[in-house]
Amino acid sequence: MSDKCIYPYFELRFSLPTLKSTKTIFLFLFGLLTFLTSLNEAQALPLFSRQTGQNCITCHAGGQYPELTPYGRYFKLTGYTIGTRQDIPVSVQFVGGAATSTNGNNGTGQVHQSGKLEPNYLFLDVGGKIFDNFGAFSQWYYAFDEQISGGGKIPNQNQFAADVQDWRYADHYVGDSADTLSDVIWGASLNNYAGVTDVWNSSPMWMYPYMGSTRNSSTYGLPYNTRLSAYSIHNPGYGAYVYLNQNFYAEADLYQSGGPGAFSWMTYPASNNNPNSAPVYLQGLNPYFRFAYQSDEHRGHNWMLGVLGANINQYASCSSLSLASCGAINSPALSAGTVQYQDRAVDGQYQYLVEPHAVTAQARFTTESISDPNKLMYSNPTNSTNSFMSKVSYVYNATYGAAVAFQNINGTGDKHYGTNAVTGANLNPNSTAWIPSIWYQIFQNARITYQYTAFTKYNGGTINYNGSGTNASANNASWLYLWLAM
Amino acid sequence: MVGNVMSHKRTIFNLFKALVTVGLGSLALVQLGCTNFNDVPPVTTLENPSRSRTIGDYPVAGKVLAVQVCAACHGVNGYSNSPIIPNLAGQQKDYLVNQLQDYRDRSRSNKNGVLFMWGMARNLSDAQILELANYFSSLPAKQVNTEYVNDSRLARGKAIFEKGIPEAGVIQCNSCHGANGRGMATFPQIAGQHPDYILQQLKVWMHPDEKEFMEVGGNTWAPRTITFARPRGALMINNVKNLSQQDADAVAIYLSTLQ
Repeated sequence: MSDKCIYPYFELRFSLPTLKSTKTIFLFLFGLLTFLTSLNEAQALPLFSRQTGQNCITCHAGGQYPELTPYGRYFKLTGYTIGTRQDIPVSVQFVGGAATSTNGNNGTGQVHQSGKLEPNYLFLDVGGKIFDNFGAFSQWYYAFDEQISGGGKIPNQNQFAADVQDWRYADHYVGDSADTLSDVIWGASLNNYAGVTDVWNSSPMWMYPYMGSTRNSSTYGLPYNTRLSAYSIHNPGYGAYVYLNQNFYAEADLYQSGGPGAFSWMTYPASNNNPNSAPVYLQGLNPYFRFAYQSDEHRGHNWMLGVLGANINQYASCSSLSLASCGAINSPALSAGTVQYQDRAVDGQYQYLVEPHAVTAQARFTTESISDPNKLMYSNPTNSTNSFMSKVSYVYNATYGAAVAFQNINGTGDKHYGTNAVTGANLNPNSTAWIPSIWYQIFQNARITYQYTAFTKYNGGTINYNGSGTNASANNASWLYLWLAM
Repeated sequence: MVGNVMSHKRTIFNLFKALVTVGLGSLALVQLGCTNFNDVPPVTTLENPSRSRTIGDYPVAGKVLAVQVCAACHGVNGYSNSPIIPNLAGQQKDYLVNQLQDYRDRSRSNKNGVLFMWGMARNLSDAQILELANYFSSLPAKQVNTEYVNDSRLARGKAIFEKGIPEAGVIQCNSCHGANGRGMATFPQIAGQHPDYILQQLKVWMHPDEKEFMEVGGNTWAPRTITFARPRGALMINNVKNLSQQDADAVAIYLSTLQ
């Protein structure tokens, strides 16, 4: 009996995917909420806060989740294991708001928006501390009318899907402070996005903007990004890391195909037969690496400088090649060759955290080469991009916040990025976006944000970039939303 | 028509199914949560008592918690890197015991205590509190703060520390905290402390009615009004009620340079 009780995580994991209809999900959540509200206060949510008994601001810089404080980084690197193991290791989040384009409604990524208040995401989080050295951040989500850039594919519309998974083993040795090596944290992670394991918010998975609307992809920023970017390499992966004297960090992970197999739950519901959600098939094991130097904190200041990268060899899916005798709609075209992405990035972060002030800044420059000798996804055999992402923010008293991001990408022209409607010439990815936002933290777990995305360049142009008369600013978007975590 | 009735029935059936799922799911959670889950004894082959970050499930040694949990903010050597987090090296043992107990029973409610320490202390045992106090009080207080050595306010701070401000009813600090600010038993060591931290504590006594409507201790369901207070230091209220902010700054800076 006691054996069974250790594993509620696994039971949840396998029962969730069976919930299919919105109604069922709402009922489930309603039941869950009703149940949770009946608990005494020591068992309140969210999960990690419940486990440590500390407020969100302890781990999140100025309360602007998901951005981490030095202690938040320690909490994650030691495997989410600080505190008291929870009876009910569950929390829920809701994101909803009104997304509108502010300049016409003819931008590429804005098909579903209505300008009305609409739900965007429901998240279910399970995990936290499981054993002394083992914990998890396991997030599942339900996306309402989700779409992605390009206005075409709708990956996980209106169904539950695996979001962030980070199942982590970690240990921490503390020696005499006079020793050269006085502090060693090491661990291993089973996860499902390249970069999800990272603890700095200049890294691909965890950079601002921290939330975007399912109804308008412009709210996420640039229309094109490098392969190693947020929510991009969605594949099962595993790796190990070490953090020496809480200064030198090194990590390596390997990512593999997200198709059928023991790890398929990490990319649920992607499958060969799901026309809306194709698993990404990678050739063999694909490396991701990360090195960083984190300064000691001094009088509330800390900074980090790092490098990271990934090599991804990816198969095309049968649907994109329309080959005969290829298999199910989204099965991989294994005999057609691969597209090879090589991404290398440098990044840095600065934080000043002394209440009531929280000043933080992040930047990342990525250079990418894309090789597609068989022209599976690109019309050129080789392409390249350079991208620069950055953001600065200020939060007062963990209540009032403002941020602005600058994002830019340049690259070679290719049919992959579309063609000019008049000349037929290939477009390029060159785009520039500014994303200012202001927010009000009603409580530590409820935030109202107004976020604006302004494009000064889109697909290589400012005026009539595509030959159809569309200006870059036609893709501008505003989003007013509520983020609630319980 | 028949089809409609059928689909209607099916909807009701599905709804019923969902309700049953939710009901059984909740029951299962209750079973797991209330009766069994936390009673699972530590599995010695998997658990790691010498390097654990567990608080409450089973009794990890205080020294282990000190380096695995507390040190994340207070430093392995008892020196914190953030000016809002107090240095604990060489702090008075009795004082530390009192404060941890006060965080545990939530009687010490300065804002950062509520945000950060209520949760950390809530499941500590008396034995762990004693071990933690032993650990930090026995660390050498040797770090020298040179940041303010040339600050023009030092002289004023020194005067208040040694002589008080008789006309304002401010008693000299060294009458209780010792000639060199090292404290004694339940009177804390204030020498070598971060000025920001000292100022936050003085503020609690200078403005004893300050309160905030906030969520506490990991509970995101029931925000409540917290009056910031340190009842065990109530002696300080009369002492500092007429202290000006400039004088508070001067004292805080002076204390940080004391060795």
